[in-house]
Amino acid sequence: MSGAHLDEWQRRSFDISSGNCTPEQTADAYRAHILSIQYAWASSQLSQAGMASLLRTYSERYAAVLDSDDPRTGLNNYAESALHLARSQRNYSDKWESSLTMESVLELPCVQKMIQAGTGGGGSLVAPGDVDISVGQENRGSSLSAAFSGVRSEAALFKPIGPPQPKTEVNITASNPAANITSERPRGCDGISGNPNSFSRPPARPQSVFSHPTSVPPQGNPGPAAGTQNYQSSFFSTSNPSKRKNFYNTDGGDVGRGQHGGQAGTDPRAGSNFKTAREQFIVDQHKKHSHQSQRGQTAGMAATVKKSLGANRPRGTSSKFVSPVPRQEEEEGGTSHNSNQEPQILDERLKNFEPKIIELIMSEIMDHGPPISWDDIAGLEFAKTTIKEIVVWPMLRPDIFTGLRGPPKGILLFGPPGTGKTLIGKCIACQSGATFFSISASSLTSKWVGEGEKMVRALFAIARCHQPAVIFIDEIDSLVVPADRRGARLITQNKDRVLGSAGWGSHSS
Amino acid sequence: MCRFFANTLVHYIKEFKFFLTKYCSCFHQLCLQIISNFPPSMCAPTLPSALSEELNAAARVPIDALLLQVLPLRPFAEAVLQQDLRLSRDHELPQCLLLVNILGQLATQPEEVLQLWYTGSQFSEETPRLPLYQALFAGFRRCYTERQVPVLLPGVMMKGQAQVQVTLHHHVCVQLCASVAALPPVYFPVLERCLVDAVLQADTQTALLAADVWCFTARYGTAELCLHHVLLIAQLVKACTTECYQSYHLGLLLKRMVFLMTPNHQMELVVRFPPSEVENLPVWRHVLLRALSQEARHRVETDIIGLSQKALTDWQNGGYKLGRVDKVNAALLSLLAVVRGHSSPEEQCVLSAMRVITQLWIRMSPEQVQTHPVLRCTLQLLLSVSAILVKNIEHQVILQALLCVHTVVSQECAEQLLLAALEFLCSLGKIFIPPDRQNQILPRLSSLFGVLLSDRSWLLHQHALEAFSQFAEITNHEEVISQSLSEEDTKTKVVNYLSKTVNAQEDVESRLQRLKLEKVLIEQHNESLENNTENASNKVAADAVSDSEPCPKRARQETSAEEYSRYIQTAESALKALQALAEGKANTTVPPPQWLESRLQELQTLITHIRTARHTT
Repeated sequence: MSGAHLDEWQRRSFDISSGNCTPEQTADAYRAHILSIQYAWASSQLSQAGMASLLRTYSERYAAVLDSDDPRTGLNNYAESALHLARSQRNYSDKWESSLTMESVLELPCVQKMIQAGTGGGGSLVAPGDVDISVGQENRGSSLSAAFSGVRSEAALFKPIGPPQPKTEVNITASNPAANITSERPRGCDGISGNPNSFSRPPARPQSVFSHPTSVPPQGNPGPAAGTQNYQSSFFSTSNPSKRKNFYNTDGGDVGRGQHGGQAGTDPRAGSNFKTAREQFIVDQHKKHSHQSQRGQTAGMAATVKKSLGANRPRGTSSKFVSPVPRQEEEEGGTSHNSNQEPQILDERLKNFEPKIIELIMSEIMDHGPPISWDDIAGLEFAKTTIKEIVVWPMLRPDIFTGLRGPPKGILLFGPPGTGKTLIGKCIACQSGATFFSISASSLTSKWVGEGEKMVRALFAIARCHQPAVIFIDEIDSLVVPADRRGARLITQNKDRVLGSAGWGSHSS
Repeated sequence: MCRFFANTLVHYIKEFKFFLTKYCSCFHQLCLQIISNFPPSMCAPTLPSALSEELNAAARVPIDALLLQVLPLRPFAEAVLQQDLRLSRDHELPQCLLLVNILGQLATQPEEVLQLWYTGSQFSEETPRLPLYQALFAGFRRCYTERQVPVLLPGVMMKGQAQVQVTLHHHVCVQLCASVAALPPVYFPVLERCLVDAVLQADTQTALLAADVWCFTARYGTAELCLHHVLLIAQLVKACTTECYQSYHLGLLLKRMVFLMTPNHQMELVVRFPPSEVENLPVWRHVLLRALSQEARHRVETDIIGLSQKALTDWQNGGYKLGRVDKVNAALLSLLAVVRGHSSPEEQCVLSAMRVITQLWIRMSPEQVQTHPVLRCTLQLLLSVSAILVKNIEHQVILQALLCVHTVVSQECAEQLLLAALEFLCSLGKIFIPPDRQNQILPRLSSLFGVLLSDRSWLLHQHALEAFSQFAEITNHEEVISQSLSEEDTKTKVVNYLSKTVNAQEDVESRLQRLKLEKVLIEQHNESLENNTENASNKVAADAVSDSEPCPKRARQETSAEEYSRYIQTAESALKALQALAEGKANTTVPPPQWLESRLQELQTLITHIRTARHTT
């Protein structure tokens, strides 16, 4: 029987060590390990303490797989699947309040049981008669005594390294000047290791905006740049209700800065990493700008997928530095594959456009609003099924709809006003998890030469950056009015551009 | 045909569902029966896969429709969520899957249906029902065999990726997390309680599932919520004084949750549970220090090391008495947590830790370790700490450690000690032993490996294999390897392990039989664990009763003056009301009742009595 267990265990551990199984498989294998340990305990092949020690080891490894957000080795708490399942529902997590208090938790029946069980046991391991036995005799066998004198001299050798009296170390705090020497080194390390972190964080910033669109103002922060620790603390308290990722953000910047500000004079080791507040500010500003567009995008997508997980601290050795690209993909659940590109690429594509136009499109055209499901649209069964078939399915399973089965590039919805064309458009965006641009064709026309065209161009460029995207052009008939009215040339240009690009229009008659 | 009947049934139920409430438990049984007859249930008949898929679709779709119809019915909820549900073995997995299915469908249901399913019964006059989450954890716990096999279920279909098969744990976890992600705040307290409940029950994997869900909740919710939960868990850990399964589960949860906290919340944890106090050490020994921010970590390290040095000096000053070793052990346990959190061994605190354990190693003597169990705990902790700090340890200390381990291993001893010893032996591969010590250390090393590799317990054997292969990979002393493998039997096992040959897999049928037997055993074990604690609590209660006959009534809390004023106020207000009534009636010519006069008379005498009593006392 135990042979079977051993075989299974070995098979699993070979699988784990082979390194070519997915995180899911690794997690399953560790779970099975834990189950085996439990069985060994139940069948008294293992003592309780032995079980505890094994359980600790394997649950640690298991947790490292499950809670890690590294897409290659971690599962990120199954966030991708779970959030996918919950994608069209509201997120109330910011309103969750714990009902348990320190006192009430102790009154729960299960906790009571635990505490009572605790009082039951707890005998001493030492027999009462042995209490006064002194551990480790001074006179030992001759073969050992030489050895021990060696050890003792060695122990003495250690002493001068630390503070002179071991006892005083109990009281060492950060304020103790003696401890500064000890505390400096880890801080120096932090400065160095903190740097890559602070670079890895900003790309993560939009995600927090993402999950709490209302509560978080852009955290570009602080020209005055936190020279002192107390400023820093006040800053934290104001941003308290925001999400953890923000914390990490501001923290990454601020703590680093606060430290360097504080230590600049005293700690030459941190010098390589030292930045003045102004430099840091410039860097921040730069980042802020480069992320502007991305942030807008995520705010827009909040309509469809308002979910993301909070941060996760790196798990020491088991976690590596994760570049922002795969991580975002992991957490956003590939709803926007191409939007995960580096900000530089985004910039390059969009840099030909005026920032004002881009901002306009980001803020006004990208749609915000509650998620909509197909059930919210009454009637229109045929339209709904058709659209599901030719739009939503290809978006969910692009691997199947290739070649001839490829989705059409545009759809024309037409009908009298108030028959649900706009609603259908929104629903498409929600259900396919795409970025939704809603624009009225009338706003694409402008009295200035070239303005309208620029808008259209910018719109499509932005949409291209945020694929998959649905561009919904309302009242498209205003673009195709008879050419004898004003600005016929311009309108024709717009029309060409619109019809030449991919998009779905709606036509109100 | 099947589809036709199913659809007909659904239609009938749709039409007449309000007349069918009495038969809700039949619906429940029907669902279970249907699910149990299709894969992944283990008693499903084996059919060609195309056929079974088609049948599956034909049966599953109506089930969903059926559930949608009956979900709002209270009797159905009561049937599904009843406590102590007696299920046949074949229906355990179906029940779990049914609950998961319901959980998924609830998302689109109106408020009162959510209320019905999420909250459980709240008033004693209701038919008792569990909260859905709790029922789900209980259902998951029952499916031991299915978890062990493991049974595979279709995973979540996501954009462009092929659907994969996932294990039951994965499936349930994803569905639970999805439901948590859309959980309205009203039901959050229920979720919390269910999670606490599930973490504190005896089955490890169920606790693990609860911990998974809890971590998801912590990451999904606000940072403050996470802090609050961590503080609660830390308090529970502190309250749980003995080593029991609850403390293990809480420990592993705490460990994971600390990773999810913000740096200044971690500082708050440090402030709320200062590591400089001995009674907080149980909390900190569960925390992986690498989860903490630099600041918090530094503080915890300094405090714990200071504490362990103090424990050591106290012990020294008290004359190394055996009776006080447990205090040293407690300090060592926390020191182990500190040392584990370190990646670079040259830091200051490592040196202090080194000093502590070197002094302790000096006091360890093989003879005493053999006779006193408490010293074996010390030895185990010392081995674990030394395994991590091995590069800084003097060779003399290593020799001493090997001597101690050798005496202990030669007789029966606890697994955790052997595991720690293996850890230590494995770590010895990292160091180079100078030639003048080699003849002392290396033979002992190889003989120890020889003994441990031939251990009969399969878990230990496996760990010995792992430790040995790791040691062999990195060591410079190849001669130890060959000397350890002097026995032919051990040698073949090691060679098999290194070449990764596994015995042929046992056939499915016999494995299933074995797992069923195991299930009974584990269930008994879990029950006995839980009953043990109940017995213990009963015993405590019984002790209390026998000690002092019937429990004395609680002393009254109020002072007598308060009481007087309370009753006199009541009387005054009643009299005033009476007066108002009498005067009002006087105006309206309706006479007051006859008995009023006499009753007032009685009151008068009562008042006189009260006065006199007052005077006499």
